[in-house]
Amino acid sequence: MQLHRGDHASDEALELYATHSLPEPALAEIEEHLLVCSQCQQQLEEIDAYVSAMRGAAQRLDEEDESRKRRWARISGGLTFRRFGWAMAVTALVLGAVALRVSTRHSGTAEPFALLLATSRGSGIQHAPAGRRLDLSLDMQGLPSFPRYALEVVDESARRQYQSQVTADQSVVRASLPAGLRRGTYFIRLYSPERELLREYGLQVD
Amino acid sequence: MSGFKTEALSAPLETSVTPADPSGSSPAPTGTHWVDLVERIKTEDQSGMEELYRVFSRGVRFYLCRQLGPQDLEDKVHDTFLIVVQAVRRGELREPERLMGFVRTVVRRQVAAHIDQAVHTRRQQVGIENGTVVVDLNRNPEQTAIQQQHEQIAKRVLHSISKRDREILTRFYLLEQSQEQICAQMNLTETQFRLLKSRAKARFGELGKRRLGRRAAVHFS
Repeated sequence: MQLHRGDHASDEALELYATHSLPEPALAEIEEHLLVCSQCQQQLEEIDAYVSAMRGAAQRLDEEDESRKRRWARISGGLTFRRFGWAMAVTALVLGAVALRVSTRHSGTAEPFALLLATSRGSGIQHAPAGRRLDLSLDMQGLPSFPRYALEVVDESARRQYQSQVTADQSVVRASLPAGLRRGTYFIRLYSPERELLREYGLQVD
Repeated sequence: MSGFKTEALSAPLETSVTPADPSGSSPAPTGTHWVDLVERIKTEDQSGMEELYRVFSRGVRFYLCRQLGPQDLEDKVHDTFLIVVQAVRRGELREPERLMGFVRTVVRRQVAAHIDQAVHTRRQQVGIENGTVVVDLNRNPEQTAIQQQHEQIAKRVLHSISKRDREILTRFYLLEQSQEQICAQMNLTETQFRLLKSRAKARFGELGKRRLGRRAAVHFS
């Protein structure tokens, strides 16, 4: 290390002095010189300011880094490897179940079941398979003619499962239930535009 | 040598060190001069006292202010000179040519004594009452504003370098690790270390020049 620059202290020596890194006997030499040299005093003031600025800036940046690390640690604390693994497993199960349900639903609509519902004596209750698309044909013989009818499908507890507006075609009203019905007993009800029940058909879904 | 201007920590003083060079930038007087000066102080020659003050007062004030802050500075400077003069007159300065070293020793002891006293006083205090004065080494608002500006510039410098280089400078300026320790732990040569510091200073100077205008760059030759 160069202690002097001509008759004055070198910048390097002054910087080491400013950062308390100057060992004896160089420390004594520099301090004694500073007692009598105003030029080096001024230079040291500038170096002090620079060192102080660098120190302050380094401290701020370290604090910002620490703050960022703590924030990330809090976030990632909930995302440990084990938890992440469990989360992935549960997600996979849920997705599998959804895919299975979607595929069964699609298999139901792939093969529709056509059904003619009539209320003539001896016709008995009709049966249909569960989960398959139902293409219903309702016998309208003997019923007043209207431009449109309201059709409802209710279960044995009178809970509505399906409803639509339908029209008659040569004494037959046709309706499709794309998703089919779950197993149970259902009633298909036909209403006039004024909501007068015109006819009810029974359906057993197996 | 040009550089950015900060408020001087010490009050304006006469700058002459020797009669031959009133600018204050000449080297310290030689050993012969010190011997003569000590002799004049011993004989209570007024010119000796005046020269002692002229030679050392700025430096003593600078040192004490840098270590202890501006509070009661004049009293401390006065006490220092009193101690030096009394010691010289008692013949305690066995090597007159070492007057500079002696003054340095006295000043350092003054600083140590003041710090000891401050620590002792704080330990004795139960609590700080309203109106109690606490020594504030911080600068005035203008100096604080300048310091903040410098810090912002330094922050930009640190942002502009690699993480490794930033760590090196942090170790040196903030953690005050030695050059040898840093070079050993960071696998650096002395030249690489100096070059990094030099580039950082140069960058600081450039940014300061742009930002602060005329009162800007730190130049390190």
